[in-house]
Amino acid sequence: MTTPDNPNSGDFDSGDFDSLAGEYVLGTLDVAERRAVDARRQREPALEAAILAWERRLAALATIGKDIAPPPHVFGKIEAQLNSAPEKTVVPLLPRAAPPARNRWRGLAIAASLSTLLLGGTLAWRETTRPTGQQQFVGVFNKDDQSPAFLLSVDLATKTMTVRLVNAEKPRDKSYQLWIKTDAATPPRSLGVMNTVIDDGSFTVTTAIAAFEPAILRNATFGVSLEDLGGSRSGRPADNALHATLFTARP
Amino acid sequence: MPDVSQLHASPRAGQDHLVHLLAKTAEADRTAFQALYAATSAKLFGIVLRILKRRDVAEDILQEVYIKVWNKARDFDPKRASPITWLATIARNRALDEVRKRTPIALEDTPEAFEVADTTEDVLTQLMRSEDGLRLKHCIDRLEPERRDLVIRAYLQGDSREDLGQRFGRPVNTIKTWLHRSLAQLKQCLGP
Repeated sequence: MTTPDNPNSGDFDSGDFDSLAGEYVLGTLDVAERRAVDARRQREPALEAAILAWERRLAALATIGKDIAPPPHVFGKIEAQLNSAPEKTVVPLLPRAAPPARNRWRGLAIAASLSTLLLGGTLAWRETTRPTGQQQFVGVFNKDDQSPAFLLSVDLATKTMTVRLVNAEKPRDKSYQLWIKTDAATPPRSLGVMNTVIDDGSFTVTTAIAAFEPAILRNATFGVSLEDLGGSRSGRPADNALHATLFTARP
Repeated sequence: MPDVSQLHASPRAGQDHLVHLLAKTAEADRTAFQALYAATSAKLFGIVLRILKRRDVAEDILQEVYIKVWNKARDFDPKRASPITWLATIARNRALDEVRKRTPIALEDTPEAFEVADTTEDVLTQLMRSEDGLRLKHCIDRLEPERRDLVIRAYLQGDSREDLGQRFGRPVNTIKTWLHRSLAQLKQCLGP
């Protein structure tokens, strides 16, 4: 099977995980390649595994070299930043141990080729310029001009997430379901089923994301899948999921 | 009766202490976080300064690294990595992201670079201090001498393919081939 290569991945064959993962860990990829790998590793377990294997192989080098004490004011700045950040909420939502392989997102490898295209071509994001310092991020789920597209917006300040169906109607006998995948080792979690479409065609999930920290949301991969009416019965997304990620943006 | 001072000085005890501090940091314990910083910041600053070569930039990045550690402490799994390796990986990745974004700077402008650089021989000697390190040293020793330098410079100094091309007087494509062959050789020697 061949996967369409991400244009940002240079001339790496997408199956050549080892060279890509090895160079990633060695640190020799250029900025575009690094960013592409950072995005891909979130949704490609094989690439993630190859990266972790290289980190393990070279781990003995990680702590080699001279220790150099940083100047004292650095910790002061860190503390100031923590003091100005919203209070940390610690909710044990994400299982700590890696799940058994059978729990992994089914079809992720198949979906990866689609999401690679998505991310390479149509993922749009922006940070709204609100004077209050609130942050909002936008991602677009879109396969092609004919397929349904969804606009995802996340407001970190109010911890609300809105998904809007942009160019298609909800099928009568199916439901769209929103998912979040926070890292390669954790199965996707449902954020809700879009069966309560309100007047303007949007669907808002507020409670589900209040438990996630902003840093996790920013690095997560979001998915929208088409499921039987009422949502997935298996607790896992169907293989047809569209994916999008939000970019880390600074306030 | 065991000597308490030696117990505390042993790598195992140090490691357990860091695991404990990370677990407390995950619970938003500021005192534990401060102790974690005190115990690890010189190691991590050495790592980011060696890659970034500029103190001002390295200080900013170190700050970001510890904010990330604060936010991600509960992702740490002691079964998968030692605490210091986990922290070092976060620091290296952040420093590499930053150095790749920046235009190359002349070494003459960065006296710190000399202060922190280790020769390949230094590095190989330091590797001999741990069992994993010995194994890795054995495999690096089997590479051709030029490629040993290549791998170590890339990993420790954060050299890009272009930097390495200039240093070794070779086109970037040759460097890339060398990197891929060296990685394949290392993998064969180190195993999966």
